[in-house]
Amino acid sequence: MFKNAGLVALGVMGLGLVAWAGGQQYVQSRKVNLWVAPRFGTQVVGRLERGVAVEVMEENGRWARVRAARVEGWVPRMVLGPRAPAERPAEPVEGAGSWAPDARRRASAVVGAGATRGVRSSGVRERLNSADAPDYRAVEEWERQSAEPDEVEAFQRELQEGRAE
Amino acid sequence: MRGGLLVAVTLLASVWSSGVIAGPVDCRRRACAQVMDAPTAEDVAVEVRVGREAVGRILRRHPLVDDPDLQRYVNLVGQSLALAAPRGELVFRFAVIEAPGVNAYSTPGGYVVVTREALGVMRDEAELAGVLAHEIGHVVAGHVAKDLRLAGRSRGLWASLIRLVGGGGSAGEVGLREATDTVMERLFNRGYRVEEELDADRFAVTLTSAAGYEAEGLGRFLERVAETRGTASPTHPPTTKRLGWLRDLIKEYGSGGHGHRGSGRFSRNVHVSP
Amino acid sequence: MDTGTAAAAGFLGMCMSLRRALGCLAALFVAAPLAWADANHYVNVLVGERAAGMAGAYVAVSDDASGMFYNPAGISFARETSLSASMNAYRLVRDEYDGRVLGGQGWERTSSSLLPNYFGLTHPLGAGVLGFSYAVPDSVSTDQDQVFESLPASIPGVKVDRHRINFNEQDTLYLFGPSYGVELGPRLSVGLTLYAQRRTTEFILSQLVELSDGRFQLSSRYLDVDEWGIRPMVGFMVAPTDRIALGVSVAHAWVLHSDARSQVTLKPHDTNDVFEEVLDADDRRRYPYEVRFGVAVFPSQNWLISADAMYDSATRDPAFGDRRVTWNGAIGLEYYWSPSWAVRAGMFSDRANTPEVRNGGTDQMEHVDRYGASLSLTRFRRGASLTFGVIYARGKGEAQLVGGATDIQDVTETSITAFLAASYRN
Repeated sequence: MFKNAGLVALGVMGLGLVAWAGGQQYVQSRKVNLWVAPRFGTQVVGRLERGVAVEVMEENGRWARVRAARVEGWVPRMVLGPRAPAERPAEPVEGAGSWAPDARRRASAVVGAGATRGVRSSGVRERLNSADAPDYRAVEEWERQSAEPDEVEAFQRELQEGRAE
Repeated sequence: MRGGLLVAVTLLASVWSSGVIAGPVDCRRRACAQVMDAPTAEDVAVEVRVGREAVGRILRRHPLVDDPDLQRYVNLVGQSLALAAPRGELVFRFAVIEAPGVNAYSTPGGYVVVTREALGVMRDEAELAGVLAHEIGHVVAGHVAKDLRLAGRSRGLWASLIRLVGGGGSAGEVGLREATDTVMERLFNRGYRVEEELDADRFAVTLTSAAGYEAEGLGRFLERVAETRGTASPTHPPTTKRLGWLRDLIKEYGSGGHGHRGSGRFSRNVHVSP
Repeated sequence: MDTGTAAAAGFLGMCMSLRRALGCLAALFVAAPLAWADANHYVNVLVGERAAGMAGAYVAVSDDASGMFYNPAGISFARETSLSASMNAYRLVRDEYDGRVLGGQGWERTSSSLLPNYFGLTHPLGAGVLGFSYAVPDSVSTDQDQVFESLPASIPGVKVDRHRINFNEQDTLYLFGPSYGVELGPRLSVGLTLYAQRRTTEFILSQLVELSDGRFQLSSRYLDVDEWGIRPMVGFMVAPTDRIALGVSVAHAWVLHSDARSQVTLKPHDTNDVFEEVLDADDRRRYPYEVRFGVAVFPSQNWLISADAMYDSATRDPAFGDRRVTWNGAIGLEYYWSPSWAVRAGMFSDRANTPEVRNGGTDQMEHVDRYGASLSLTRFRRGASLTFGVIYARGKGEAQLVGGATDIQDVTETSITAFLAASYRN
């Protein structure tokens, strides 16, 4: 019985190892190419979108050979993660409120949750006249300058097709 | 047995006497950190909030360059890099600021700025992409965001102790301003650790290559900066060292000798004298 | 009826007086109290979620909550998070003594214990990391109920019809206390663990010997030892290159208070008188200086190789037995085949700290050199990990079970430990 207990334990672990050896990973980047070989500059055989579940077939240094629904190819390991990425990008401002310079904000739900982790805005009085006060207007102006996804893709294509030289 | 002891003592002594050599990689980091240390939605919200506050402070002192076409161009270069960047939960933003010196900064949450003077030193888009990708690397790896979580936790202990002893409920609160101070301190005084710079460079090589740029751009830029302005950067490792590891990284990733420089597009959009 | 009480007769005296009282009968296992298993080894139960999987080769790794037990300097690397860890182990030990015990019959005893054997908590504080841990690096729990029949006796013309032994033993070593680790530079860390140490031993042995001429002997013994002390540990960690770490830790336990009580009740075969004896002793057990050296190589974030050498100094201890210089080694491997799964394996030695058993001597302590292997599997989730592992060890050696006799028995000892451990980041 004594020897058997050990054998059973080892067997269970062995089976566990085999069962879990193949790992599913998720694409974390918004868009990433799939290359035919583990080298940039080789042929691009497909493009994966964020959140796609892939099966890792093989790893080679910083590269992983993955299989998605229909395509198979190499991606940098960096773009893969063990968990499905969050659904939506995090909003930079709590709620839809703007950062009017004279508003003294209450803690919102988002920041209130942050309080448990040590960051909290309630009771913080922005010293608006101080040189250290954030220039929210400039930040807002910057945040309005967003680029459309199509525009970014076209911009990237122009480079990759050699039309930017 | 005595031999083993002697060897150990000699090793310890030699390490001690050789003094401090900069640049250990973070070798203790285990693969499981990707899973165990993954930030929660709450962490991300805090990160973005504080990062926005910090970049607001930077903009107060160093305003955005008033050139919409230039800003749009730099943003497009950054966005095309950010497509392949992990941490898709962040919105990356890129801009040029009026600040003295050749430099680039990123704050947690995805705000990346490069100085106008730095743009003036660059010759092509691959160099710009290299610099932006390096900054994206710091954000993705959460080098500064980790400080915030750490600060929150450390004070959390005191806060709970104080509460335990009977202090008021607000005794342990950490203000947004204090968190932002932590970020500013890290960016402008303490700087990144050498292994964090290596991390960001490793990331830059992959990201520029994935976006179709020549991976050598960052190295070329650093070399030119060192030649024309010296290497006196208090918050970055020596250029020769960085160039060495950049070469090694390019070899490691097999990304040498291809990709585009985008020099035509760069000179059409950037008219900044160095 | 004769009652003798001698205060502070000394622990050794206790054992000797029992032996004299039992006289010259079959007198099996009188020596047993001198040989409770695990005082004879220094490794025993492996502690720590990662460390146990790596066979305890952890002095140069030590960078999590279980590091406080191996090398407190290591916890200075846990600056970015606060960690807690716990571990529960089920341990089964079997000792088989060969047929030379009595009348050609072998003897076998098993011990099993299920116990929480580690809990640790670290938190960044000031320039370093503060922690608290509780560890049980040694625990034995034996329940024995055995009957021997038709044994030879030392009285001419008489045989032993039945010899019944009831044996119950609990022996556990507890450590608990704070640790602090701090980085003195990018390549050097130092740490201190200040453990309070408590060892409790409880031992009950009842024997009934029925002779073929109708006479019988009944004996019962109760022994209780309660020991308190401190066990400071100083550790250093050095990184000579980017991917190599060296660790060294030195610890020593001082017993500050010890309280032993023995009660013996005996009805010999040749009289109907009952003898009773109560003895108290306050001899303090002496512990060795323990020095651990380790080297760890971190080739990538998926691999870790670690090796330790452990030195325990010799002790002169007239009450609990002399211990000689003991060297042990351990080597461990850690592999993450995905960020969610890791497997660890290792090999270790656990050699006896007792002198070799000599021919012609009597009442010598058991000497068994053990060698073992470990294997564990870990699943990671955000902020937490869960590990299941097994440790197997086996050793052969010699013992003298029968008090006062020169007989030597061959012993085979096997142990299996299964453990479940978890850690959390908050």
